[in-house]
Amino acid sequence: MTEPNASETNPAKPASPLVLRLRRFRRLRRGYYSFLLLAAAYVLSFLLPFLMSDRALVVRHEGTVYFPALWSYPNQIFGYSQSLGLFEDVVYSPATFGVDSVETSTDYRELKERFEKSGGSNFVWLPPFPYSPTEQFLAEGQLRAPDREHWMGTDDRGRDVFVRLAYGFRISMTFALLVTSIAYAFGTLVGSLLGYFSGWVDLVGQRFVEIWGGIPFLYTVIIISAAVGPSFVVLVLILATFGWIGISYYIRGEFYREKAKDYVAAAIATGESNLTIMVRHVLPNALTPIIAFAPFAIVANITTLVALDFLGFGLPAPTPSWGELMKQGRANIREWHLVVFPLLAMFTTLQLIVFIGEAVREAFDPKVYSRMR
Amino acid sequence: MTESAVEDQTTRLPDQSASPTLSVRDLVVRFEIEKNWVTAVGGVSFDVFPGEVLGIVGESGSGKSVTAMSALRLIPQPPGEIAGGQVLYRESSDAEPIDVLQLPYDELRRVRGNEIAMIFQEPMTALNPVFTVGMQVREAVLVHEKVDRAEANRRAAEMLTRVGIPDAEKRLSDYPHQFSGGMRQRVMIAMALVCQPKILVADEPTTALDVTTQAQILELMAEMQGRDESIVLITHDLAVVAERCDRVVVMYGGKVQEVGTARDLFHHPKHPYTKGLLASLPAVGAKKGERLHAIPGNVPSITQLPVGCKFCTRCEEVMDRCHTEEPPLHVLDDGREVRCHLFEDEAK
Repeated sequence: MTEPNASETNPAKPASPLVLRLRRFRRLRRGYYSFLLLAAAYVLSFLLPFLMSDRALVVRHEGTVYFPALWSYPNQIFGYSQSLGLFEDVVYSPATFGVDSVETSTDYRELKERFEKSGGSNFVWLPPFPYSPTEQFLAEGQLRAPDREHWMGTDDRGRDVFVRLAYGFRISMTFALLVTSIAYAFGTLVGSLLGYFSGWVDLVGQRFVEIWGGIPFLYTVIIISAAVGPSFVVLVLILATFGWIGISYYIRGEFYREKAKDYVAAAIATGESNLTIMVRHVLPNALTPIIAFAPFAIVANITTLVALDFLGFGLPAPTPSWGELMKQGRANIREWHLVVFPLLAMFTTLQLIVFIGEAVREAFDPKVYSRMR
Repeated sequence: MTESAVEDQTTRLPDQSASPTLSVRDLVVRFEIEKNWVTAVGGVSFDVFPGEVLGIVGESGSGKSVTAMSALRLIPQPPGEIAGGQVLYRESSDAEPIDVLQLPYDELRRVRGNEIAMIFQEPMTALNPVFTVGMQVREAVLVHEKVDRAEANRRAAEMLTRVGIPDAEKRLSDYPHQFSGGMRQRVMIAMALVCQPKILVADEPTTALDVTTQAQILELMAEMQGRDESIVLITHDLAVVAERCDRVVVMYGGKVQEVGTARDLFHHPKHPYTKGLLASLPAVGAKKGERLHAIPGNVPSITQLPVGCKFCTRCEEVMDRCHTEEPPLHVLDDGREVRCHLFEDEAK
């Protein structure tokens, strides 16, 4: 974003309607701070492997420095023997299977304890919250209540709820943003073609859109889930193929309204091509309602993913997702931490987005001093 | 105002021996309204000669705007349709005329803005609100000429200066909402004229402006008009016609009712409709308390036009045959044309 003060202190500098609206948005404190908070959280969520992970950030071992968070190392580097574990009192070594070595992941928390016990210059620098979202802590049983180690307790497989919620935030946001952008791009394309060319193009196109819109969404998800197995990409595509319909209606309507205005006639009379008029003249004017609608579309998509996960048609099993945690909360209703924390996470996120949505709507409102409030 | 304007007017008659820049021939435009085809323009013909200002006058619904829009094929399709006729454009007086209505899309685009330009009634909506004024004028240059952006910008600034926008260089980066109505109309004129078109079609360019601004805009249009360039001025304001036009086409019910020079038409109106229009103007010397003359009745809806003369329902000199038989456009000795049975004898 551009520096606002430069343009605000210089009133002679002309501002486009978009810049004016962005300025108005910045003045709506609640929405603007919600936006900053959420944007910061989302950016931060991409650093999650360095904040919440069972892999150490830096390990110094016998004078060499390793970065396990970035690359994986076989555990014998840190002085582990190549035993693959005990099973019925038999110790298996790589030689048992006729290989020299096996890449085994290291328990860096244990390594840290060992280094600290032995002293010396070896050290392990762990992330601030050294648990991974799929790691199971079964030593003290599953469904642990919150304590100092696991701030929000563990779930029915002994996984840390706090870590899973954090990773789930990144997945939910990425999912919603992707679905919204794809749906917006496609909906805008279809809507502007139908709205601009109108006539029989619109007549035939609308019928196809209606037929498409008549396909029941949930059944499609269930069928496709059963057929190909749901994955992040498949779910994004399924949701996007249904999400564009509403957007195309908005854009189509806006195109009908905008193209009747004189500036379009003026552009035609100047001799500009259909494509130029459509993309450069009408489209920027037609985008207003769907921009104002975007935060709510994101809310809807987050909720849809949660619902699908809750029903079990969502992301495949070990993926940390909010819906899956809520499902656990319903199954273990007496474990308050499994009910409260996932709901709280979702409530906060959705509330922040709704605040942003409100502010965007108000910033884009052409009638600032409307009496109908 | 009208009376005195007519007295003072120095009519510069166009060189009618030259071939017209634009000839509209038997133009028919129809609209489909609730499954019925309604004829908005029913066979209109007129010529625009190089260097003249041609006024097209008529009440709302008389088909004057539709006629003008058809010259650039700006009729929205559907519901509209140019059902017949020709719009012949000559680049120079000895060039072969081209029929705008038959041009393929690419050539039509070359004519639009470059040869025939248009300005619109509502300056408030005729500029795109999301683009700077500079961009919109520049765009008009870039569409038709292979010049770089800097040159286009220079041309835009020069044009804005010529239409009287102070500090034009700086105002290029302003947005339409920072301009007043009159200023926007000046920008529109700059946009229309930046490619030096031969014909400027102005569809009620001053209707949305206040009176002082109206005068300035009309003044500006006259100033900008080159020797061979013609203006088609569509208006319902007779004062504007009296002041600015060389020749006048009076339209009613989608038909041309009378054609003549502005001077002749104002001093010796022939068609009962033209007479009625002029009589309904407030005169400066009128007695206090005297009622203004009005043409009785309302403009008939174009869905229910009479079979015969389109004006027969309101005409004060109506005859029986007017209801059944539409008069042809009689050409009189002095080059005037009148569509009225009263002038049948005079025409012969």
